[in-house]
Amino acid sequence: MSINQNQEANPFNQKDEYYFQPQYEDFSVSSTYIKMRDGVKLALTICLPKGLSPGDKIPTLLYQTRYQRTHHLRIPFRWIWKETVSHYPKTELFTADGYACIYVDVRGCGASYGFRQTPFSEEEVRDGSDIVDWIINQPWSDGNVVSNGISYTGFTAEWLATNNHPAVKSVMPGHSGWDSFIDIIFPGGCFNTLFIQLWSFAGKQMDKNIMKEFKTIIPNRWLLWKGVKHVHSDCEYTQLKEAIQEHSKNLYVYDNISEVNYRDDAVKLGNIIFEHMFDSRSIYQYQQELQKLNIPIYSWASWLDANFANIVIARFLSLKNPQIAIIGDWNHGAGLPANPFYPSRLKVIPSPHDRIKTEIRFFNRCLKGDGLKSKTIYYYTMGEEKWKKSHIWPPLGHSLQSWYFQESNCLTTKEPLEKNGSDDYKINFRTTTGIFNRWMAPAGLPIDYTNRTKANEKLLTYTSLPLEKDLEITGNPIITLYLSSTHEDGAIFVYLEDVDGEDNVIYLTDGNLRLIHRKISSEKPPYKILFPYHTFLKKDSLALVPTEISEIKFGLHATSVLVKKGHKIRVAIAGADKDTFKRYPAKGRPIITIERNVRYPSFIDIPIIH
Amino acid sequence: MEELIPKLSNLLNKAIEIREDKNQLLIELNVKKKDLIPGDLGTPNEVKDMIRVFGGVKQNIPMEINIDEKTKTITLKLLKKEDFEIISTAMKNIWGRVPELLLKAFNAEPGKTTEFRDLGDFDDNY
Repeated sequence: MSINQNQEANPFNQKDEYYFQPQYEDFSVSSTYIKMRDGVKLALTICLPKGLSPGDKIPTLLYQTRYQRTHHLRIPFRWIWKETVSHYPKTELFTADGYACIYVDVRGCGASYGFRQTPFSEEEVRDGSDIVDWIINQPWSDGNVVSNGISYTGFTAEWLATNNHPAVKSVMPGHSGWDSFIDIIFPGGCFNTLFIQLWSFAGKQMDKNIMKEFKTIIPNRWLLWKGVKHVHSDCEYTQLKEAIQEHSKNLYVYDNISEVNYRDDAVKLGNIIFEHMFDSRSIYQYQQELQKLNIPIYSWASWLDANFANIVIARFLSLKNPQIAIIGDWNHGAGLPANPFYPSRLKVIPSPHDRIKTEIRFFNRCLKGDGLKSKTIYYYTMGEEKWKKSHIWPPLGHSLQSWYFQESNCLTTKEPLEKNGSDDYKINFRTTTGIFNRWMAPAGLPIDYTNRTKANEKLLTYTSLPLEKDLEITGNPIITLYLSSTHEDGAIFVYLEDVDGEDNVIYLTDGNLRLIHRKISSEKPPYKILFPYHTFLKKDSLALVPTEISEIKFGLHATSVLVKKGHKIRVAIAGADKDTFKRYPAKGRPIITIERNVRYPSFIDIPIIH
Repeated sequence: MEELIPKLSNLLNKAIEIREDKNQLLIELNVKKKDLIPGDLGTPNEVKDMIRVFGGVKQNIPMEINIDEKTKTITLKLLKKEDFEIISTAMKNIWGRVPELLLKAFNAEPGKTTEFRDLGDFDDNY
């Protein structure tokens, strides 16, 4: 049992004078174009509480997106709903509490003019400052701006803070990353083909304002939306059409990265060469800027969504800013539950209403109260179904417990005694976690790992005896494999699993590494991590020497789970994830040999809480 | 926003008044929403798409469509009695079909969306 249990540990149950208190019943919607410093016009939707008296001044919530800020709903929907309905209940709750909500199409997207070369370009980030300047000069503005969002809009909220505009008092990045290379695009150095193709395709259609392609992918959006909402004064859609025409100059750099192998590979698109593209537009490069004004940050994610839990922890460890960090058991954006112990749950907890009211409480405390003075991380232990909180990470009582691979596919806490034990595994390139996994989660899909029982039949597995007592696993497991291969390249996918009394397999977490990136760097990582540092740079890459044993050591994604007494722990190893990642190597079918003997004891370090 | 769907049918019934004149073969939709901006009432093509996709009328039924933004009224003038009956029946059921279709769309698995192919395409020209 963890010693960190705390009755106040549920971040969504905390109510005080800053908690949501509705003051207004409805809100008005208007829109306009505003000019950036370089003349590019951005489209804004402005939502103000109805009933403001002249002279009333209110704070503003700013939301900047590349996904169409609001929508021109199809009829009959626009006969009953406002254009902001896709944000429901955010606008309703924030305006009710007395905030203005401003939704912006970033340049090159939606109804905004301009074009974009990369996501989070320097121009796009600087636009945030120009927008804030406009906001604080409005007659209803009290001079305070906060920003939040999920996914891309979580990124833009945090990017806004790097401008150090004095009016920006707090930001709330949700389900967003710091490290473009590994967060979603090349996790473990492996190309996330499926998500990137879908994301790039969806972005192109939205930038052209074409909805028909969504009919087979996301039919609810096709039914609901005709496209992006035009600025209201643009009755003939002239400006909208002009803006969309400018988007034809957009570059979609992710279309040309399937041959990328290294973080520092240049990416060429047409005549333009992007050097260091991934790192130059990664927020981790701007830690100094984020800390300069020391604004409070509320960051949140799920244990099961891309690399974002690792990033919440990295942010918590690396930045001095006062912080609330929250990691739960939901899907991308917390619209659906995703707890692998309870896959048939229908409703997410907290509800979107309760979650947003907690966000309002945070911002109110920053703007009207004593602010935030310290760091607290709230994390949900799945399987135990409890919230916990800590001011440090890893939490108190944490240690690493080593579990060794043994003969007969066993896993024990004892080091192997055999001189020559090893297991061969021929990589099966048909192994898959399906499409409802952490790497497609950023598309907003459900997360479903209930296929592991069947999937394990194709994998190399090592399983413990039934546990004699409950075991809380909180943090990043670290795998160490002594491995040789018949080929010079490959990828390893490691799954940590719970096997219950009926041999059902419950996914706990996973990690992966492309084997040419196995070198552990002695350099200081660019942000704090609690697992071995792989640079993914070309200079550190090493082809395998066939049949020669190499050490493969990497961290699995952070998690917090309780494996119950009587259940078993399993480590399952694959060489591919067919429906998600690019195949490594492109040709051939490697046979890997996993050593499990006195000289080369392959093992997994599991972060347990006493 | 999925949580808004259960109340959708009621909202539509309250927000849109449908009147018929069987003698004149007219069907009127009067939209009660107060803060409609110009263009929000719709275009004739959008009305036809709504009847086809949400009303389930797959036949191409000729009709005159008049949009009056001042009175917030859409008038459908049918040319034949049989056509009037078809559209009248469709309009009686349309607000129940809208949330059904939307819920199906929210629950559809990506790639397994063949039933939406049969709905045809919206005219998304501006």
